[in-house]
Amino acid sequence: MVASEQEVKDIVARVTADVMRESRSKEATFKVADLTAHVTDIVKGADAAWTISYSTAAATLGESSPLLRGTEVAWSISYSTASAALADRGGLAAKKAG
Amino acid sequence: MSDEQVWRGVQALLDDYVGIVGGDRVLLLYTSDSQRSAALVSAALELRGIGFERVWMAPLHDPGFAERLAAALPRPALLTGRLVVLSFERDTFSHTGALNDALSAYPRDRQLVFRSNSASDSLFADALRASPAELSRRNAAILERLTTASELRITTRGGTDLAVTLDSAKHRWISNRGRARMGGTVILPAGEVATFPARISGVHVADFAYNVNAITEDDVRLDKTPVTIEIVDGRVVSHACDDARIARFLDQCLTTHCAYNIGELGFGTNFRIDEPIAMNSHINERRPGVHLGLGQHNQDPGVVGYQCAIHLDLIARGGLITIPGAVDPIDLEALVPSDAPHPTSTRDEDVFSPDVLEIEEGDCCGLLTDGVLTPCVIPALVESAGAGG
Repeated sequence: MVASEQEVKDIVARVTADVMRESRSKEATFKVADLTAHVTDIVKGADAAWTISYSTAAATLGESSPLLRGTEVAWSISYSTASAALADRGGLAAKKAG
Repeated sequence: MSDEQVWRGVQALLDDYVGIVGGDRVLLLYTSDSQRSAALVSAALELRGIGFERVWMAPLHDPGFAERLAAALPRPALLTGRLVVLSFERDTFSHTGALNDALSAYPRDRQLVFRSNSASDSLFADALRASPAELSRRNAAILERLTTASELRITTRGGTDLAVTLDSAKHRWISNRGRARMGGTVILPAGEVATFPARISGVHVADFAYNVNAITEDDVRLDKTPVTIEIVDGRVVSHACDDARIARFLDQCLTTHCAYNIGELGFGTNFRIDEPIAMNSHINERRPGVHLGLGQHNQDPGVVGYQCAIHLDLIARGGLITIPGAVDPIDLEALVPSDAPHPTSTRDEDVFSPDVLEIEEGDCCGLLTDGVLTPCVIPALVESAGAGG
């Protein structure tokens, strides 16, 4: 049986809310400190190596998400180079994911 | 793009790419930045009554991922159909090792893996609406002509004019067409063929977009402010852009060792992609046209002689490929699909040469893998390359 358009929208809305709750729940158990070793490993590389840092922004997550609405920001991931000459490149340095 | 277009792309993923059938078991992996993709595919699977497990992952580094993955996978003895892995990330390509380890418990001929590091509306609404069958015919059309060619001239309306020498006996071709092989991994979006140019000189005007293997919020479109690079013997010797931010970005990229090397000659074949999107992604480079990948190359280690942390694609809109002696150029925006089978080893065996042309299914350029932006690992070669530049 083919689902009606409304049924599809209802399922998408419900699953979207489920996924959002699931993400928020998992992020809550994931500590930024867990990444310390990873950052250290990368910095040990050549001068063109890059560092990475994470922070969560779960507080910005909303409860509702109608069909196909843009996903709220859940993560912020930043990169910077270990080389001072490249550290102020600005545009390449950071990106919010989400 | 409309909701309907996005939803049709979700269906196309399941129908045209995966060929989902009852009895398949789906493992859906996603990072937080790709919640929406995960939700839409979850909903589509639910509507079809396909069993699936969803696993959240932190990008790049997630000590608990392997454990969560193991908990979500069915016991191998209980797997009756195929195990289909769908993963969605926006900027990264994470946990390949952990995934491979987990999948090693299952027969390769029952695994299908699709991974996207460009999860977005455009992935579904545009890129995935070109089917693997359609992309395969377009890729074949390029491969059947270029794998036997040695000299090319490539021009674009925007001003690109390149003289290229190919050595297909030495440098492998890569064809990304979205075609799944059991036990293999398909990188999405699909629609590109690429190789390493043995020699390349001229001018390249990227008037569509750029794609860099880093995470950036910048608008990567170049349709208003193209980037022009001059290339001599495979190396960028000058670059220009009227946009100050982009010019500064290029300054930084191209002063990083190795990044001035042309490491990839790529041709987008995804005819569903028309206009550039602002997001740094693989979607733009699949657009029909020519692009050059600066920095990291697409060949096996040792073939080219350097490894580079950066891969920067400079993408032009469209392109004409002229082969000396051929009647018609290849117009990338009006590509005539080939009815011939997609080549796997296209060249007939030549008893005088041990080389076999290899066409690899996969991605064509640098990906954000587990280590991301791996530092150069061959210092001697790096120094040599730097001295020459």
